[in-house]
Amino acid sequence: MNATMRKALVLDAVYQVLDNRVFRILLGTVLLLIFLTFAIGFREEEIVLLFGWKTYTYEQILDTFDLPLQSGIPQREGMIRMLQMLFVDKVAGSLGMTFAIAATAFFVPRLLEKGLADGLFSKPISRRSFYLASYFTGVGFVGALALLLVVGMHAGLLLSSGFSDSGFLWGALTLTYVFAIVHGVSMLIGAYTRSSVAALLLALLFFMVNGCIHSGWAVKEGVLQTEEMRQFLAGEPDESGEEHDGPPVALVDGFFTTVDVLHYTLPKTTEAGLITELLRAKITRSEPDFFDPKSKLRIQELADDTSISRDRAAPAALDLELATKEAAFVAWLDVEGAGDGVSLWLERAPTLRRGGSMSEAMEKKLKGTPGVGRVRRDHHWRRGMSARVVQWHDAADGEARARRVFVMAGGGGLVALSMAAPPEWVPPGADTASLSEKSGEDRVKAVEEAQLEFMSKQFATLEFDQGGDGVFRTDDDDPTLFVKNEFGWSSVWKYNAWFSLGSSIAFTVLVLALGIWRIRRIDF
Amino acid sequence: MVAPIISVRALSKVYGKRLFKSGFRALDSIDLDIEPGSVFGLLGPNGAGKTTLLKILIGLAHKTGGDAIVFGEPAGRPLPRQRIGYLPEAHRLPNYLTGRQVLELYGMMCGRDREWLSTRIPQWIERVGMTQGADRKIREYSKGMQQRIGLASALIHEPELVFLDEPTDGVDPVGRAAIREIVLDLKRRGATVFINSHLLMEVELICDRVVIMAGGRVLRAGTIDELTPRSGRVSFEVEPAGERLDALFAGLGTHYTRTPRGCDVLLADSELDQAIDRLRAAGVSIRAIEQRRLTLEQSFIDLVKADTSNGSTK
Repeated sequence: MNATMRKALVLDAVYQVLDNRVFRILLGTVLLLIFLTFAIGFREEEIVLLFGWKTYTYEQILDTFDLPLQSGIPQREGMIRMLQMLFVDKVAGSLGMTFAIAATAFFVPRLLEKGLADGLFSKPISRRSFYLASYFTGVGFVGALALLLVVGMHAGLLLSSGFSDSGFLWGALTLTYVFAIVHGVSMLIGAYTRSSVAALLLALLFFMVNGCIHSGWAVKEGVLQTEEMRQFLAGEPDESGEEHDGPPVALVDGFFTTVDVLHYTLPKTTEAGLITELLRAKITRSEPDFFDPKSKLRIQELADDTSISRDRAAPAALDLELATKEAAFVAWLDVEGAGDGVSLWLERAPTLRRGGSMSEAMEKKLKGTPGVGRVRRDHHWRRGMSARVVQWHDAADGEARARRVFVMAGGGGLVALSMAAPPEWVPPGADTASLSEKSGEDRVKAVEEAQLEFMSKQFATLEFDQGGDGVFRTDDDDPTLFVKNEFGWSSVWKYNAWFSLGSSIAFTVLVLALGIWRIRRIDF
Repeated sequence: MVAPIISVRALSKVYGKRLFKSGFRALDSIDLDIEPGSVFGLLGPNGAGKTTLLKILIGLAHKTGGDAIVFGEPAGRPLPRQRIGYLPEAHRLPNYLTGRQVLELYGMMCGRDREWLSTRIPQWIERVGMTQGADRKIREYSKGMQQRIGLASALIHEPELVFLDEPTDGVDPVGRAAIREIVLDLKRRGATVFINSHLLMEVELICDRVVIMAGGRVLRAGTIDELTPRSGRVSFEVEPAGERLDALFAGLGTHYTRTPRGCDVLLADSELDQAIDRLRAAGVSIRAIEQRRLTLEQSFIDLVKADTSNGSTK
């Protein structure tokens, strides 16, 4: 096939798509969404419609539509992010995907129509080339529409609201990736049935069922992990063969095995967003200040006046050892001007994954330890990443110490950020003037808050290698988010992005090969 | 001797053959050699295997057995198809294109670049009488218009071998004449043309050679003259005509009938001279003598009927 023939295939595809009504509707919808981002300006305090025609406060909008906003970020940013997520994930991701499948489902059935196929397949172009041209045309046009959507919205938000989040642009890749998988299936169905309606309906069914299978599998993994942790903490491995309530074990095992087989075999469309985030992180991020390959803990940029060191001996006792024997020291965090008797360090526990259960186990153990004062356990959340914080006072070598430990899940295990300091220690950066005005209980409380804030700033610099902002920093007690937390380039194979990508691509290649095999066998 | 452009040996095709199902035999061990530069008519009743044969040669259907070679390569390979033009029976053109776009795209699909096509497309549009509707979408075309653009699209890349399956189907008489002229022009250019048609008059008018098929087999192949032998019937056009001729032809030939300008009579070769002598001796002026042949239609029907009765007695 020479260049002219290839050009003819592309040209044919362009004419075909431009003539298609569903594509025109899709294009119109995309342009409308882009227009809206230009027409609605998100200012610091208010929302301006049509360049000043009407103005609303954020409270008015939030109250009217009863919208929840992410805490910890400004209203304007929260609103924009919410709308971006709504349009790219929901509108483009589900509705747009349905439209895209509808707009392309006719490709193969039309190609194989009696009379038309005779004319086309008598040309010196192989059937495989026609089939692949149809595939790449569909993917190309949906990709172009997705790109137009995110670039247009991004430009609109930048110009009318002065807001820029380049991460949003990567949404086009996610949409195109998912469509590339589903389009292959739609074409295969088209090749076998030669019916546009069958190709459309069955491809949509596949898209939905496939999503349910993977979501179900993710929940199953999370629930099993919770159960594993519960047994670990209770010290009772489930090997007794005792009678269980509920369905028979063989039935459950059979169900789980089926879900496993389907998940591992089918393309993982639900992981597309995670892969895009990983890819974005890999491409856009510079070398981190610190990376621990065993825990996959990453500190992209250390907090102010902080350095990291591993050349000193580890602490005599690790905090995670309160709950597991597998704890290991990672590194010291040295803060300039922190003063004597203040230590900050990182530790890890490689096989345990649930920070909530671990902190609970630590609390239990501490409560029975002599010399340990009141133990507090809280949930701390910052920049979308969550941690369990265990705080207590103890005495080492006769000196009272304030202990604060942040426990977080990630990288296939747990990581703890520990602090040991004199209880009255005022951390660098604290509001000393305000503290000096306080005394007694008030001062103790204010110092504790300052120490916690200091730790929170250190905690905010920590992340795990799996991913980018937001996506993977999820509540580690939610079983549905367990797989999300585990997902990464170097995770164990079933949570591994390469496996997800490879198996999805392999499935798509297989589906394309089957489609080509089918149309090559047809006698027209 | 010129190498055949198409060579078919023991070619068979069975549709719907399964493990426990024998299927329908559309082609039954066909042998055929086609030399370049002629116009071939492919005739046969419905289900004779004509279209199946064409489709195997083009690569639209797969053979079950035997060999089919086109331009020295196994039939169906993309490269020889660059030299082939095909107008399918009941074809459909992409309805999202205009007639002009069809010609451009189909030409490009055959490897011709846009510059080369830019001069040919207007010529072909004019030749098939589509100057008025060339820029309208195919979905707005009548059947005849689609047939005209279809023909142009099959020929736009100047193929050396052309398969036309019912090319005049749905076309008005003027259009048919134009198509006949195009086919004759192809022949003059040296292209080999295969015409599959039920219109035997048309085949008789433009084809040099004819292949008659039935039941998946080639019943007969030859030139038009070979397939339309003389019937022995002779027409005389004379001056003066009339009752006087009855006496002159008495005892000569059989099946004598008088016509307004002379008479028709079934004569043996030896009797023709005798008849002329009698007419001249009687002072009758001979204006024309025509030795009648069997029509292609009559030959075709006779062959197919004979094949059917052979088949039914077997």
